[in-house]
Amino acid sequence: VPPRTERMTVDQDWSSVYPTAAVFKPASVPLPIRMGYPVKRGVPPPKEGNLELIKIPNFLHLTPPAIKKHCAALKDFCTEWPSALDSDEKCEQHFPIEIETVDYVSAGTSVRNPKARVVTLRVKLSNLNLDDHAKKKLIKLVGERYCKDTDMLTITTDRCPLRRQNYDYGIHLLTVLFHESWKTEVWESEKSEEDMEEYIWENSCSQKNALDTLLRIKASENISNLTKEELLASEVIKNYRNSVIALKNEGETENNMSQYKESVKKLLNIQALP
Amino acid sequence: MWSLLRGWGGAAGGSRCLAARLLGGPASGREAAGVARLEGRPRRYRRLPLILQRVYQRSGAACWQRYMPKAVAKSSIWNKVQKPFSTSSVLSTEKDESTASKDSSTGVASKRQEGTAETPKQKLLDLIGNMKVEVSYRKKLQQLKTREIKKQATNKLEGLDSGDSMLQKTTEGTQRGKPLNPELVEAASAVASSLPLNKKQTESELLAQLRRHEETTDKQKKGGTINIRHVISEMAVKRQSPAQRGVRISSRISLELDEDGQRIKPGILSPQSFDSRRSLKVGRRLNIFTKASTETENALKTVSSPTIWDLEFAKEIAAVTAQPPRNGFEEMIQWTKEGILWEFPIDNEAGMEDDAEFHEHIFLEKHLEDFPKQGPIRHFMELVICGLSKNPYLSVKQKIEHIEWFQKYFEEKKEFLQEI
Repeated sequence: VPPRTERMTVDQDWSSVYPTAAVFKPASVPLPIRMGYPVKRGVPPPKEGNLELIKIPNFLHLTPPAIKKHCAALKDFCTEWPSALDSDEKCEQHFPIEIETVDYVSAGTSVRNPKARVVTLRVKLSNLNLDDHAKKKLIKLVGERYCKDTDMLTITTDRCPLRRQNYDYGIHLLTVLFHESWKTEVWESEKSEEDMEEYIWENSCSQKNALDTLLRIKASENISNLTKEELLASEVIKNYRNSVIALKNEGETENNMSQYKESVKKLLNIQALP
Repeated sequence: MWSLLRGWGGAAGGSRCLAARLLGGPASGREAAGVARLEGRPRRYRRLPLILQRVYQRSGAACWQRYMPKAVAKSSIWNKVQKPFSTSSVLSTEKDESTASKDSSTGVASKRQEGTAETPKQKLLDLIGNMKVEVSYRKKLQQLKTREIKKQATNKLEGLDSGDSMLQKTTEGTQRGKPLNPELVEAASAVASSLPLNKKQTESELLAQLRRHEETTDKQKKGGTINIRHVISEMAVKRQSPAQRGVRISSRISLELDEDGQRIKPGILSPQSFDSRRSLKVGRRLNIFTKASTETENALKTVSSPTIWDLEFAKEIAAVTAQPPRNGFEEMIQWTKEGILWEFPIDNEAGMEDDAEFHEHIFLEKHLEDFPKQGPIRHFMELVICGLSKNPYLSVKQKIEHIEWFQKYFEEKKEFLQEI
């Protein structure tokens, strides 16, 4: 009996030949495929009776026209993407919290996979309603889970056996963090300089030193005693302050260093030096 | 013609031939219709040919002899009419009574005749259905009457030579309703006694005739002469579908209950006057029974509906009607139903049930109430709790059991610990 391939037209409907995942049938696939290790001084064996072709999984049932048909059939069960959410920013604005869950597919007898219970919550702190103190406190509480560059808080939970329990726990954690960061505890007033996240020039030794120096200069020059406040408000001090803050917070860059140099020169009135 | 009727097993065949003959030439167009109609309902209408036959007989042959109180003419009629009685199994009730009182049977037959006139089908059916009752009623009544009247036999005899006077009497009699005029009955019995032939038989025949007169006059009073053609043609034209017939059959035995718990009479049967005497709704309510609440009935119905037998039956049907899959997709559907193929989208936790909430897994301090608040034991137990809360592989029950084990252990070792 001649194989079916000889009666197949070129423009036939391939999705009806292979509608679902099926074994490779050489008499049904009109392709001259060769597969396998070639015999010595020969070519790879042909497709007829070729175990190599039968062993491997084939995707003959997933040609692009077949997939199109699948999509067309599934479209009836799908809801449309809401037209109002056409950009990422809008999505983030309306749905600031992103939740990630992973489902694992495997070939085996059991459908279970313990990795499936992990739930990840991601949220940008700018979307949360936090003031300065709350933000700092939250960051302190959260620790490593906060990324400064992207301003993203990531909470990963896997302490419970089920995914929904982990999701509930994650939301619970976020809520608790938010509310706790807004509260001010009694002992928070004991925050010292070491606890500070960023450099604050006020009440720092740099300020003290600068003020002392200026006062002594003024005294030596016998100019009337200017008050501290007036000194602080003066331009030179302000420049110096900014440059010091920049140096301390942002690190040592070319810009910062040159700025510091200029401010010091102005402060000590040594413009002449290069 | 009679031979055809003898074998009532072939009722349909008999009725067909009879109907063909009865309908004859002018009604040939309706013949086929009538035949078809009659064929379609052999059971119900097997009495029909009998009735038609008798009607034909009476109207055709015996018209003029009806009002002649001559036993000879009447007996001839009677002989012809008696045969179908003997051969019919349907009219077995009458057959039993025919020996006792032929009047009643003929009375019934004539009643049937009357029935066909009013609204042919329905009247017929109800007549047939109520036949027994009617017969017994009439029989009783007639028996009572005959007993009373036999004593006053002779007085009214002289004035009854001509049939016209009899007719007059009958017209008088009809106004008094269904039961025969006692005078008439009396007269009939007197006549019978006067005549030389079998007195009882003649008397009964006379009474039957009287009854028939009454009925015909009643019929005519109500309107519409008995025209066989009309009757038959009407019957032929009106086609009743089997569904309708089924409805009517079922409606006769309908158990529908309206709010009052009384049987709902379907609208079709309402215009019948015969049933009005025996209607369920007529009459004063006795209030013997309390109204059964329909809700409980409905509840019972819903509860009892998925019985085991119903489930088994459903399974059987599913097994019988299940066709082998025509393509790969149907095969996949079948496998999914059987559980061979996972359900997509894959849920790794499919079937894994854990009714506990997250706080029951993580916040376990409430189980530490029985432990001392300070000291190394507390410290130790807090660590235990911390570890348990981070364990996703134990259920809440198991975690609680862990803690309780520790509790027991420390209870036992209390003495040692106190020394320390």
